[in-house]
Amino acid sequence: MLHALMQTGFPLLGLLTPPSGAEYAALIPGAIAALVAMLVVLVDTFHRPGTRRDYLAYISAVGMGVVVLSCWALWDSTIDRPVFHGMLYLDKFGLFFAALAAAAGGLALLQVPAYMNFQRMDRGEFYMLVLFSVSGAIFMANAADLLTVFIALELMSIPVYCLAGYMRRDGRGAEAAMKYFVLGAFSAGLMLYGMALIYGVTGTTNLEYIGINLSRVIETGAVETGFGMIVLGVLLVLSGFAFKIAAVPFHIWTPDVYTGSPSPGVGFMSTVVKAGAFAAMLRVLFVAFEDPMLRGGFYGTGWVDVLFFMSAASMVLGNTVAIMQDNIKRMLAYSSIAHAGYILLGIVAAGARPEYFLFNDAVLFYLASYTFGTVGAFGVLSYLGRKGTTVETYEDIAGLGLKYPFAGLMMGVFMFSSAGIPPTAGFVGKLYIFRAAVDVGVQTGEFAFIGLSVLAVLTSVAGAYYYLRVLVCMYMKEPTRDDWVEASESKSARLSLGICAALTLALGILPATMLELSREGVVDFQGVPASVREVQREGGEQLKQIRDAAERSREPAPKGEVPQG
Amino acid sequence: MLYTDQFYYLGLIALMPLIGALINGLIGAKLPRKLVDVIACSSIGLSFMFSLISIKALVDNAAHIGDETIYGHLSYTAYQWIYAGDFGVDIAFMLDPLTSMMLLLITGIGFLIHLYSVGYMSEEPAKWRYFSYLNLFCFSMLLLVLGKNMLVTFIGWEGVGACSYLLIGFWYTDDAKAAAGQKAFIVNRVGDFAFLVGMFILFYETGTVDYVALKEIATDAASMASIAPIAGVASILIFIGCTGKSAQIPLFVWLPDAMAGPTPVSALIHAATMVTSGVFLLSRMNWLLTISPEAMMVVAIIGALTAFFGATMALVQNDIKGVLAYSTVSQLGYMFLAVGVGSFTGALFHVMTHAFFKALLFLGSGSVIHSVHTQDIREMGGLRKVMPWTAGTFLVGCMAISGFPLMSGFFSKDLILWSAFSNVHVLNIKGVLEQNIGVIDLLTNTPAPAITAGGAVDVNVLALVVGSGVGVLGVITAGLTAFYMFRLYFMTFEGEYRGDEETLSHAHESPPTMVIPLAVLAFLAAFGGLTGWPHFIVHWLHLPEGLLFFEHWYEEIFQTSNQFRIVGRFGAKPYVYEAIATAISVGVGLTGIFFAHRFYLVQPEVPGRVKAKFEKLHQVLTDKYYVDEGYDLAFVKSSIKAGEGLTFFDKNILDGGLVNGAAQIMVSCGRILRNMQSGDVQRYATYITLGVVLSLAVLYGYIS
Repeated sequence: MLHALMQTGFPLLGLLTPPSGAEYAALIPGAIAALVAMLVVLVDTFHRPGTRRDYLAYISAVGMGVVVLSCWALWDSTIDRPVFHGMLYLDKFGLFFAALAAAAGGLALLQVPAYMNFQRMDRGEFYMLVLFSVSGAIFMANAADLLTVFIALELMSIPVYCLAGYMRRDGRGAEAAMKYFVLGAFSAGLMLYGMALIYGVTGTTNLEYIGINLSRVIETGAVETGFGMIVLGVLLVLSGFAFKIAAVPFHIWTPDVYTGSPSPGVGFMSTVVKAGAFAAMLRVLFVAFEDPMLRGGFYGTGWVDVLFFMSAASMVLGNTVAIMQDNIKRMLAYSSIAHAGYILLGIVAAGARPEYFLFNDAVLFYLASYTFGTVGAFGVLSYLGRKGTTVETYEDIAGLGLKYPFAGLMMGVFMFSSAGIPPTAGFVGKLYIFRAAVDVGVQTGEFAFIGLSVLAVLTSVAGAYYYLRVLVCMYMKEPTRDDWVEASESKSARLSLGICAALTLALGILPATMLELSREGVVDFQGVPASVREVQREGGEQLKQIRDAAERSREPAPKGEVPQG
Repeated sequence: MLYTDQFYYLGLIALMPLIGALINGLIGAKLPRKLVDVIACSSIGLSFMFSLISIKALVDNAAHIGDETIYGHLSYTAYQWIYAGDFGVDIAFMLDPLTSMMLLLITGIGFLIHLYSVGYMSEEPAKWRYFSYLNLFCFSMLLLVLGKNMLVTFIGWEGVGACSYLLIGFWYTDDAKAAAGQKAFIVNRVGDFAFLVGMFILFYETGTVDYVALKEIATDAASMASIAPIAGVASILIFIGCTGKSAQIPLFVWLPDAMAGPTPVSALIHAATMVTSGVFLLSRMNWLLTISPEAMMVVAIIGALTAFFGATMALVQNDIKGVLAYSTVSQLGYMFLAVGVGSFTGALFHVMTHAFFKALLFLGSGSVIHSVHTQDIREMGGLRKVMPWTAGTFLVGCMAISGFPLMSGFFSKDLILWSAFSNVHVLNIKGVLEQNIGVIDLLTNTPAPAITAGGAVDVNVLALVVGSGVGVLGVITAGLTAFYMFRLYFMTFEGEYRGDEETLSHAHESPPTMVIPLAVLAFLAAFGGLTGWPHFIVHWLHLPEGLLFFEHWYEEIFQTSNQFRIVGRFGAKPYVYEAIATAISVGVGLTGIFFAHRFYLVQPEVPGRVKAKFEKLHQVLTDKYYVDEGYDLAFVKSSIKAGEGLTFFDKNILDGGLVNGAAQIMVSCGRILRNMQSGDVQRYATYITLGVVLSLAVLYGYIS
């Protein structure tokens, strides 16, 4: 076995040596997040009763900022093999998600004071829960082993279950927490069972070993005996991820949980949890389950096909049912299902064949654009309110766009982005995803991909309707009651909304940097088999060329060729 | 020829309105009201100045080769927008003769309308918001026409849609207006979807969305063959996008409702600029469209039908803006008719003259509404006495649109109708003529040498039927146009006043900021057409070639289409036929005016009798052929039903019936789920299990 592994070129030595000093860098982002969480717990102990806890939001946000900075600092010192005996990766892919999770967490936490003051629930636990969850999401994105995946998944999920039930005076909160917890535990159990099956077949939990061993098992004709177990295992692991990303048919908890949870918390759970689950899913699919037999698509039936149908079903169901909702949080819940469908479309395209691996950059970019738009949209809902009430139906926000121009403008940006209207981030994100799918469809001649992307464009047209309805209500309806809702005075919430909107617009107007980052993240994605590594290398060279060209064009033109006009 | 990529004035043209919009939008509420006006008007005014400078640079840098003048284009690449692998798009602008005219229309007429709005919106408290939207609209429209690639055009395309939506719903208090805005936006999205798909198809066939590169491919004999198979599909998809923005059948329903917005907005967006962007786009991509005769026919037929049906609906409108709205739909139909028969010059000529006279008519109607505070022409009449300037300019507008000889509309409409009868689509590929290949295309029976020699062309039946069919519809529409426009004029300004005395005593001529734009536009509407005389007049009277300026200005843009793909079937000197066609269309127009005069001034009882006689038809026209109802039934109701259905499916079938049923069985069998307290969660969990089992069953089914 060892011999065989040596032959496949697996970086075995990395597993046998004790962790070097450099390897500890892999812990930095996640550890900072956990430390900030503990710091918040500590600071909150000395909180003077009767004063506001806005400073906790700022401390958390600064801490999350430090996480983002640490990712930036580590960006060029990644390690091309798994660290800690094959438990974690330190690559740009993981750092991208770490930074994204930290940014989203920080932005969501900045909105908390506004919401908590309306709700008179100003307590410190909220910050701690979110911060621990961010730490879990970061480790999830960096996981190199099924064990790490699972532990990080739980670290990410359990605080979120508590978040769902945070509004304990609200019956719906308790219901949401209960549902989320029971179903989460259930799906985690399924996933764990799947992992156990995989372990049973391959004898390892390390993702790269699993990939190698699965290929061997399948190649050596053990298919008759073990293949059923493998398929069941893959499917169960996939279902666990599908639950977290809320893809049809594992979406059913989403609307209830989103409606019952506090708005800033929903902004967090619909973005960070989703991003973390997507990151780990990409890792598991492309590292462990990369065998053509399991992949499917053109080689038979496999996870590409399962995701294909999930994507189509999510887009159709999410977009159609969202039209019917009267509650904005419920609408956004269904729309987040639809967004999961679009992201899955990107994964399906990139997963169709090893040589399309680089199309995963569309997935990364889309997640970034989706994150800021969604955190912002829930932020507006947190920013508006009244003592003891929440803002969540279309009626509640009627006429508020003119009464509070800031909130209206922000909501406009976020809804336009979600609907995919230029010049916002959502447009570029959708364009990229659709382009990836069409490109794969054209190159392979598989009409199904083109059909799916046409379906995606069509359903996004329906999306314009319900996103627009929010703006119609905000700007063109008379307020139902004069004293119904007011805008918060919280500066931090305004700051958060401003940052979200600025990023949403910046990603739409000047997407180059983010596109480059997501491309780098995909190029530096560790653990993939040799065939994909070749594609990555080409992608890296292409990236370098582009950067050189940009560098050249940025230099001032030589004298004598002064621009005319 | 200046061929630099650094002509940054193009960026400035677009930037000015954006700066205006940002200033007014962000801090406009706190600024003095006068300053808001100044910022809005000066930003678009500066944009106009920069446009003039840029066009001068374009003309100065033209290359003169023999008799020919080649303008080429000026371009400016602001920055790389998207760049990854083989997919790169720049934010880049381009100025060529085609863009030049649109620039002048947008910034020039835009400036006049900003000026007019100062007076019209003087009492509006949220004026800063209005001006911010209006400037933002101009910015988007400038992006649309300046774009050097399809994606920049698309950004502008979406932007004008969004701004139009904001402006239609500006007076948000009214539910109907809010609904109109939303309708406009959604209908446009449907079109945009087609546009996007068309663009994708082109991109995957050619690997670029840059107009210059695409043109190279589409006009070169060798590479054209590669995109010929998809040219028809791509053209049709882009055309569907245009039917949304330019209010053609079947997506015209939003435009009449869009008149809910302030009148200057109707004049700028829904008459002069945005709605013509479809014509602009097809002209920009003429080299693609002319590859596929079938697509051209579709465009021509849709255009002619829209022209005709729009005109019939305008006949029965009693809302002053309603008449103008349907008239706009109808005139846009003319432009697409022109595009469809290959007269891109005619289409653009009409875009220009229509912008003049329709903006004038809308602003005139706004002036009337401002004065008498009603839009119903049955409560007007005799207003010429109180508002002579408005009446005079309105009359000029009516004459222009009716094709009264030597007014601007006469020249453009004449060119379009003449092209419909004479043009025939013969050749697909440049160079084929020279290589002397026999019968070239399905639409003609004449061999190539005869065509090159400038002889008459024998056209096949299908092309003949379509060409003369759309031509005849166009002529009928010309008559209807003259009739309903003069009906509008006579009912508004002539005869006796029919409203209450109270209102009449308050009626007044509008302030100078409103009258000056009217006067300027009236001048343009009267004389703007003198740049493109019919050929037979120039030829017979030996007038200088300069009278055909408009045609020569565009020669280079439409070179491939006009020289290699579209030819006149009456040979090189069809002047007699041309004169006959002109005489017919003038005659029809004058007849329309004559009947309007008889019906609405001399014998006002006649229309009532006609109406009584054709009650059913009148009802159909008033109800706009029930298109709205049809759409409501076909799309709105059905998608709501689908939504309800899926919700039901999600909640009851999946979650309730299937899962609950399964849960029941499971509970009764093994009592597994008994200890779970919440029924809901229990069912959800069962549901997830079922999901896994289902996927597994499907997978196993596939594998075995």
